[in-house]
Amino acid sequence: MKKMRQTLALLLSVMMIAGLAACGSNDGGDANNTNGGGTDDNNSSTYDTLVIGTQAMNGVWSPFFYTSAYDAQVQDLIFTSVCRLDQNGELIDWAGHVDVEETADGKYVYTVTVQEGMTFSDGEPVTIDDVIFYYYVCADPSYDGMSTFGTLDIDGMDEYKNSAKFLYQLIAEAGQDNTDFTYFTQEQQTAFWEELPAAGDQFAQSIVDYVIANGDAPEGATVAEAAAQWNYGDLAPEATVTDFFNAMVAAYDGDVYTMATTEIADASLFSFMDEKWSEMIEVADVETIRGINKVDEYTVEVTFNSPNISGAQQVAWIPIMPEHYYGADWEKGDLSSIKALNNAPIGSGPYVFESYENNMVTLNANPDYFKGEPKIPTVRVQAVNEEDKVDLVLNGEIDITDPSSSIEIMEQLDASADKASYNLVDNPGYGYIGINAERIPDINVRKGLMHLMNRAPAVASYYGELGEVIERPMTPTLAEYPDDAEEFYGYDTAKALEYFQAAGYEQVDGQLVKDGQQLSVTVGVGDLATHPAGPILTQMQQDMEEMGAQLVVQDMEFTNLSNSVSGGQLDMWVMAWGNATDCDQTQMFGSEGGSNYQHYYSEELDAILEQIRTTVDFEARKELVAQSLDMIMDAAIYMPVYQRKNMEIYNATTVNLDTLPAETTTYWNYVAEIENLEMQ
Amino acid sequence: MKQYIIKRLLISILVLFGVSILLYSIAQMVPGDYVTNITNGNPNITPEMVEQMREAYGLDTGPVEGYFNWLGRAIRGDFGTSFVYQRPVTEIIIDYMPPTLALAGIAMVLELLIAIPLGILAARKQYSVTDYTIVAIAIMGISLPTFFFAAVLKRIFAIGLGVLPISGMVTARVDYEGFALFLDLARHFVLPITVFVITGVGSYLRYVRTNMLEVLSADYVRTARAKGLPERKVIGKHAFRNTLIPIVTLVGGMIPGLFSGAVITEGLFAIEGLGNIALNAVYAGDIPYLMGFNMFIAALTLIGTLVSDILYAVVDPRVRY
Repeated sequence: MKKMRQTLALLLSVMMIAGLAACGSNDGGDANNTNGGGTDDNNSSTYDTLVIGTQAMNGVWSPFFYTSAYDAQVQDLIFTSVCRLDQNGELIDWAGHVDVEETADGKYVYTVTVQEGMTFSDGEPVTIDDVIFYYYVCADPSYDGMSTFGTLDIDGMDEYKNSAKFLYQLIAEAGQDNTDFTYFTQEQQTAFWEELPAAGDQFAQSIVDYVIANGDAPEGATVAEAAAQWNYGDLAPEATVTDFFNAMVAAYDGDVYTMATTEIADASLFSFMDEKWSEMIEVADVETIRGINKVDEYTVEVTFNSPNISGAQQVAWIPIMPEHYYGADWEKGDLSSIKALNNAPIGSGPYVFESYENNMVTLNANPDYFKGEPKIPTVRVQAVNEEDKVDLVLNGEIDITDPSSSIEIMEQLDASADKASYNLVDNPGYGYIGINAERIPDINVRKGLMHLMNRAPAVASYYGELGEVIERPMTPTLAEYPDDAEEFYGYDTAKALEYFQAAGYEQVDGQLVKDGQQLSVTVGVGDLATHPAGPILTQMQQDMEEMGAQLVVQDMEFTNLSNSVSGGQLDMWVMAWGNATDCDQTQMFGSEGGSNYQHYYSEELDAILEQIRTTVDFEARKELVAQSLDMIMDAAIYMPVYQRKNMEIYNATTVNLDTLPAETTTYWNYVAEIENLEMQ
Repeated sequence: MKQYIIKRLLISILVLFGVSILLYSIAQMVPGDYVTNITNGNPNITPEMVEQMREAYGLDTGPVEGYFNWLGRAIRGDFGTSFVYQRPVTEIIIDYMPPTLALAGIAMVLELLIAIPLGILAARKQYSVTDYTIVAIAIMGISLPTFFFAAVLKRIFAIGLGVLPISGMVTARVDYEGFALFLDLARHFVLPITVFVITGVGSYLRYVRTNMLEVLSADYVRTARAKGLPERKVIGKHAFRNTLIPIVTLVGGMIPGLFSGAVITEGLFAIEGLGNIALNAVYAGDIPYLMGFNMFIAALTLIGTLVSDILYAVVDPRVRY
């Protein structure tokens, strides 16, 4: 026992000394410190480490598999992309370039290139194979990340994902002498090859016509003349289309399928054959995506079967990931070797990942970054508490962070302008109140409810300068948003009552009833007391009570709310959308849309949404978007409420504020120009 | 004794099995699954993608099938891959254990060092000003909401006086190594440990006080006093040793707490420990992590009680199994 007491005493004193020493050492901690290694001689900065304050990270530093926005923040520093969005949300060249061309048969070919001479941080060169690798991983049948690349209508995507091939491809690839009849019968094979020559003539003719139509050969040119323009110059002058076709097949050593997919002008060889050959057959494996074709070391062509307004974004606004590293042990259907590298990223971005420990990521400047080596040698991304973000900047512990904006924070920052500076940018999303048209089928009742939503005072009191009322249900940061849209349903209790009466409701004994039933509406909201839409609902509740109707407000926990909304258990709900990057709203408003929780189905609306998706011309699309939004408003299913602003704050005592980007917007912040950023 | 331990261990396995069923049903009953949570509010996600992801995460099976799938692997030591962290659950628990252990371990030692002497003092001077002061402070500590107390401490020591950091585990701006890094870590742990100790010490203190009071009224203490022993010896030798018995069992029960951490305190100070990530796992619907972590805690709880019972026999000669 005596010994134990001695040990205890010793332990106690050691701990007290350590504690005292720890408290005393704080002067050293606050002192401006220089990093041991890597300090540039020309760098006259006092600080050589930029500290970015973020929130709890999951440690998944892979653009394939991340799910948290905070992980993505780190990735943005490690990886660079082919193209990116500029200040206005438009796609611009970055480490590469994208072009689109419509082919004669209504397909869209995107040509994606990457700059020559770039390297990854491990010294390996960046080539187009790395881009293609990204496509293939995201299109993998077992892919479970957030990329939507696999859902695109790219030629051959379905076959790749579902491992199915067209019957014609199977037979053509097997060849005439094939004896393996696993996927088709011998009779089918014989019939196919018998039918092929006729289709071949038409196919060759289509190339000839194409060459002439394109002006490459004169009107009335012979087959041989046209073929010469198609790189088949050694045909006899009197050659027929059959000779031309045979020459093409011969050039590919009899491989009809490869020939047909390569030499295509404006129509596929197999489109001239019977439709029965286009049946999809499940096979063991399809190794490639037909519509993704490497042109040279720095160029790839991606063919879409249908127009897609965000096609260029989808193929080019992607991170460049080194195939030699992530793809070393990768095979189709098994992404585990890629997932195994989630915590050890290698990219070609401005910074190189060093470590993730003590809740903090350390990154070092990449001397080979294609826009030049960043001036700040070390960046640390530290997880902090949301509530502490402002204090941490004012205390000098972190340099850049993004607290959720509030009037109080803005006032606090304005009061200490010498210590911190900030930028406000529009959040790419919006808040809305939705109505379930199946639960409230009478449009007059819905319109009546719309007239009871007094948005302006609620948004003004909650957000002040940090948010504004919007008039159409779409993210206003999108270029297609109709900025001149006017209020559709003003706050007007008299009008609301009129609509309720038009729906057949009567005021009897102070109650608004129809067929003996009081008008009663249930609305779901998450955290009513602190919700920006709270005052709207409170006022609505009062107004409805005065009319003799009832508004039941259900304050719900968020996952509960979203379950009730998707399950259709609420008449009305308050929620928000985020992350919109294009104006296609089929998901929310189309009859088949996965997020059409308002259960409003209109063929007219479907048609216009479809038209929007396929209208590549911006002005025409904008016009259609405005029309579709008016239709949605008129159906009284979605009341847009607010768009808020996001805040980014900078430590004015450590960061050289003059080196921040001239303009910070939703799509463009300090990370885009981080190579120019300097410390004081 | 040996037979007793074996019997207890066998019962523990049965209990763990029951606990796992209970935990799995609770985890499944939480509204909204992981895929819903990560895709919510994202307008680009199609229903097909959601379905594909559900399948990939094994969320497309019913709870019964899901449980047996989990159990089959867990028995072989494979607790699966966390949805959120995309790494094996056991690996995550090991990785995030050090900060939690340090925080809870140091706090526990401090709590005992404060609670035992003050509890004894309060008991000795029952109904005196000292007693009332100690008990009042203890109860105030218990009643203080953690987040509020943490905010007050931050305001005073970090923002006002500027002697301690607001949050985090290390100073990001500086590259410390070796002992300097240790000191930096220590500085960052001062406030969280303070919160931990002050809000937690009260319950132990009252436990010690109550036990001491009981012991002081025991016959052998009266006898010791009657035979003329000085008060110092009566308290230090006769009473204190006997108060230690229930305290030893109390320490056994504290073992799981060492690992479960202080969910709220860790979050408030941006310390990424087991408690904080368990909380995030609940929000995210990360079933593999929740199952793995909770089973770990359940096992520790059973071991803790077993250790207490064994220690009881060791320190108290009257107890025999």
